[in-house]
Amino acid sequence: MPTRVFIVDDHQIVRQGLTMLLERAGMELAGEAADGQQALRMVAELDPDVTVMDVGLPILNGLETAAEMIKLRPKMPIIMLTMYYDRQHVLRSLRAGARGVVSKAHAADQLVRAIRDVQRGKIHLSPEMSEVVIDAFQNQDEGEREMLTPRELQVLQLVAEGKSMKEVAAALMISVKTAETHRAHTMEKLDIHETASLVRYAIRRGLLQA
Amino acid sequence: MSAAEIALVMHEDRESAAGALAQAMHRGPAQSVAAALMQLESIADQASTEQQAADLNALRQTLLHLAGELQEMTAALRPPILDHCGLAAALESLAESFSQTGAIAAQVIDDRSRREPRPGDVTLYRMAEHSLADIRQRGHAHRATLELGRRGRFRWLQVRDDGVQPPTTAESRHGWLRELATAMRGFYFHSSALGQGTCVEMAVPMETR
Repeated sequence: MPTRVFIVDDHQIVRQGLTMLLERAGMELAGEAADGQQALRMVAELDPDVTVMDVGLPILNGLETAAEMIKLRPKMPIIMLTMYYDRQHVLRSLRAGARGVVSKAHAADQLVRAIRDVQRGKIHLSPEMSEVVIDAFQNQDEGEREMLTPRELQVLQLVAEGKSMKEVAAALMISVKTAETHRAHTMEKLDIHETASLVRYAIRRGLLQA
Repeated sequence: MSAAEIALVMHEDRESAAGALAQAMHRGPAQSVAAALMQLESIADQASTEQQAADLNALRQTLLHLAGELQEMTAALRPPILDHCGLAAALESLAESFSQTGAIAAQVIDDRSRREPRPGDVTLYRMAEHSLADIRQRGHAHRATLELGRRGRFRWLQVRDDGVQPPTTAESRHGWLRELATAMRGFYFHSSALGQGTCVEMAVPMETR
């Protein structure tokens, strides 16, 4: 059975080019949409195997659409297409949940391979994008640490050591309310939603001995 | 209309024109080149001689080169990442590019308080761009930090460095930013002491005027 691909791009000329590439590779066009909202309305009904989506969509941009689409269809891989392959475009596409990122200019020789890769559960990045992503992940720990203020790091460490908010406040000579605000900011910055995860984070980062 | 308000109108007109041109280039020629590359790929295996295959490959290289040039021109007019991913991502991209092309490490601290695009985002981005260029020009800095956050109803950006610039020269180069901030009902601060680095702060309202 041919792979059914859903194309989301606001440029008709690109949709035509992509369709040509897919059909030539024996794949099938499940449907096409020109903006993010339309794509979200159509995806459940079309039930595609893979979605190929432009980053710069009108109404709801590609990154937001991808994040919403994954909530609707968590097992369907999404490949983002972009004209620009700077690090931030690639990283934010992956953070939005995309399984592949392909440069639009290189789609002709990379997209079909990317579709096959994500269908097999792999992540596919255009070769020129791989280097920037590896570099970003190698520097991630330092980036997260530097993102927190010194006070937030202190609060994080004390919370991870099992101190109550009252004890944290006393130790740092600040009010309980201020300590709670620092904890809330820390959790928001790290995208952590429970104290247990905060403790695990602190251990992982060497702020606390396991 | 005050001088500051005139400066703001000129700034907004300039950004608006640059944004429109960048958008037109992105939506028109850039997409057409991408589509042409796809169409070319679909006929590549129809080449019946080595010469035809070589000609098609040469055409492909030309189109790839054109795509790269269009990307650079579009980005120079208005960074696409600002529209696609927001101000924080655009600042990170700017800092990365700044770090790669000079001996000064630049880092962005984002409090992640607001992610939606705001009217003053382009102005804050230009302030960062100008400040980093200024840091590079006067030299003697090893590190620059861009901190983005929210202060009440304002979106706030601070650019600081550890350079040794004499204070008066930087202030004169940043005058237009102060005028813009004032006209936008925002604020702008600049502090610089000899040997103690420079700190530039700008805040603009998150809602339109």
